[in-house]
Amino acid sequence: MDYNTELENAKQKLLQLGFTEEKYNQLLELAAEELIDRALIDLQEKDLPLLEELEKNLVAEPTNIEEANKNIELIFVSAYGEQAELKRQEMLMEYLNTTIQQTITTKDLIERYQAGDPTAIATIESSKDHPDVQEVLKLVEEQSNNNVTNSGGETENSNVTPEPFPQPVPTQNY
Amino acid sequence: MDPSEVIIDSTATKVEPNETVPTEGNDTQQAEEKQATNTPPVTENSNNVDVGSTPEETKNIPQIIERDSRPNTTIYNADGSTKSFESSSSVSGATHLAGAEYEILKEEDRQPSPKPENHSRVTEPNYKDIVGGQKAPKSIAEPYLNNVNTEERKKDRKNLDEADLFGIRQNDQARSHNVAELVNMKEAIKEYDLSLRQGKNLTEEEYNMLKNYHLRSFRAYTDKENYYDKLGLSKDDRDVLMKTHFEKTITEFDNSIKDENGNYNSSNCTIEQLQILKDAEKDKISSLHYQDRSARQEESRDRNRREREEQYKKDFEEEHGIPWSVQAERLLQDKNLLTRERDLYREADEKKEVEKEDDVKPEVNKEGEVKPEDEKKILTNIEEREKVFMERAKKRDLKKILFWTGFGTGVAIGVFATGPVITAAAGVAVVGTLGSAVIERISMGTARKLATEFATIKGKDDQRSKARREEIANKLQEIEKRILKLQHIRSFFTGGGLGLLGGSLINGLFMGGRGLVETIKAGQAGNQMATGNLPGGENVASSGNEVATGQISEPTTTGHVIEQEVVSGTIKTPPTIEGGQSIPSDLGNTFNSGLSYQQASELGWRGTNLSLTEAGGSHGLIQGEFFNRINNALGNNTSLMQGFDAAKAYNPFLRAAVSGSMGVEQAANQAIQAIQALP
Repeated sequence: MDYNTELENAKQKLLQLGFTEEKYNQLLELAAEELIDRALIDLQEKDLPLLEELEKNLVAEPTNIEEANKNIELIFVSAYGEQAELKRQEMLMEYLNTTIQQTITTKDLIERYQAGDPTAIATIESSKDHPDVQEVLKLVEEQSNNNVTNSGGETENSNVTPEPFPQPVPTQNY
Repeated sequence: MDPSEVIIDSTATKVEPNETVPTEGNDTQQAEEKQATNTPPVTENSNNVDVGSTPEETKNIPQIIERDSRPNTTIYNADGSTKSFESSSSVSGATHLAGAEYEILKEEDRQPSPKPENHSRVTEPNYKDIVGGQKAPKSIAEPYLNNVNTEERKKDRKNLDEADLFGIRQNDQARSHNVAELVNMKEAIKEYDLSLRQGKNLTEEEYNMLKNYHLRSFRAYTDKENYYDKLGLSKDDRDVLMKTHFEKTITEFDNSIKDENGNYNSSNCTIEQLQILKDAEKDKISSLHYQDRSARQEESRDRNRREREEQYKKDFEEEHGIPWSVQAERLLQDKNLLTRERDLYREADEKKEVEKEDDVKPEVNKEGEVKPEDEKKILTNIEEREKVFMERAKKRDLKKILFWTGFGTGVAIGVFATGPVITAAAGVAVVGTLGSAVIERISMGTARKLATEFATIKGKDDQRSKARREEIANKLQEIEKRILKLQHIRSFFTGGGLGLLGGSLINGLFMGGRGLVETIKAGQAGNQMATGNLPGGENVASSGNEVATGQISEPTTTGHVIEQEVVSGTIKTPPTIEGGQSIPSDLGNTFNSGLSYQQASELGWRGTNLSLTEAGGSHGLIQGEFFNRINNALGNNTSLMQGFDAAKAYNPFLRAAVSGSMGVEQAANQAIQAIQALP
């Protein structure tokens, strides 16, 4: 399967799992940042003169897509040489496939939890006190406060029915 | 006293006698430093001479002066706050900049400068030709100009540059105009004088002038005039009274200058009266000349300003691709100011980083061993630097969790109700693994391996372990520098707050499912296929324009092959290559421009060899097509494209192609013409 088809399939899969087009684009942005960071981490293994040369060739303040693309090209070519494009494709597909896998697992767990499956309930209850989960909860709480505050600044207790897992949208041909 | 005690702060620079201070391109600073090296250095002794020390002892004490690091650039913000920087890029010793949002003069307060009064051209028929300037001043002025011999002048000016010669030419022209106008005025006055002597009917103005002059020579007249003035009479009443009172005197004056026809004529004027008239005319011409000349200069300035403005607007549009407007100009100025501000902040940040780097320089003791506290510092610094990447990765994963919980889309829902959903999402997907992909990458890196190895040999006292520890410390320090560099490189993707990161990265990385390199490679593969269609395996690139027999297949962008007849085995025209697809690439991977570094720098290039392949990114590919097209058109005579003259000829078109403002083919064609037009 060629890369384009693979990428389109991954997108359709995510849309079926409940991602909207907007969220898919946001996910791509995260993927893009992740890929750049990974390439930069891999560049740590290169010699300083090469990095200095790279720095010299980069457009310091890209003002258009052409310049930004040039920067991306330079970073990937510096990090992976001839394998730059291949590596980039691999990294993106890996990122998207991991996300698909995580989404499927999460969705399944939530559905089972909502259906009262004891295993699912136990799994969720046991993770509740994990620091990472607490951190996520805190972040969500902060966002919730930002979104729902009255004029006195106090958080309202919203009784809105919780949004279920993002509903899958009908498959479309984009 | 220990001379080092006189250093008052850590940023002061020690200067040993006769040692040149490194300069940073700051004129004022250089001047100060020059002064510092020329004047006796300020020492503890020079301020407070130790009477106990001999001159010899004083001489032997190392002399130290301090130079404070002082901010030389200040930005004034719109909110009234200021920020000072010590910047080597500021050309002046004290640079003051208005922040991009600072409005020095508000639009409503702007007033057009008032136009000077009486700055209008002279229109009086009798005078306009006298004072209105000369169209061919040189012929009039030449006899009056005491110029040096022409040959002599040429010799003097031979060594001057174009700008000086232009200035001299302008001065010469201005002098010719001046002299010609003076000559003209002088001639007019002479003519007037002659007409007076020959007998000229006086104008009312001339008559009144002479009459007033005559009457005022009588003391009784002036006394009476003053008396009426004091009474506060109006001018008309006063004139009637004066006329009545001095009627006899006036009649006598009138009769004295009337001719036989009863007209007031200059033929009866005394010498003194003629002189009065002549002086008055002289003053009048002089005054009108000044008025007309000022008005002409004003017109000339206006015309030049309008031309400059037109040219500026034209250049602006060419350079920026948008028509000039006040708003566009302001935006550009704001951008330049922001860029300058950003550079200043960046410079300050880099300086801080360098200082930090200096802080962690491992100190080596007598045994050549790195101090334990420095080792610790290096390891901590590496961790700190890597933490930046890890934190970012963690934040990204957190954002991803929000996708699954329906948050981050502005939907407000209760925390408790969604708690299990979030817990499920976070717990299943990322518990303990937030940012794991990046963390894993970091953990597999050399830095972590070295840090682990370092930990295992930490307590060992044998020489080998000590040496290895020092080696690791140095390597880690090197890695830290690389991480710092990479953090700086990443800042290039933030686009100065233009929001370029996300959108452009997606575009650059994914491009609808196919990356740039792949796109380019696909294009090249297409080319090879196209050229591969040549009969008998002939390749345009290798065979040039000559084919022994038969036909040549002309490659097209679509990959189709067009059959073309070849007359007498020679192709009359080079194969037409469309859309930048099938260009013979005889030049190889790079093009040696044949320039010196200085010449390349003058053209704004970064080197003398230009990349012609994807190794130079998208620009490399454009350059490849550009130069190969030219080379092909010049019959593979590469030397015609080399050297400074050729580079100057094609450089604007190369830039246009690279910037995308002109198609590569069009740019190359223009460049070919420019090269062929060279002598």
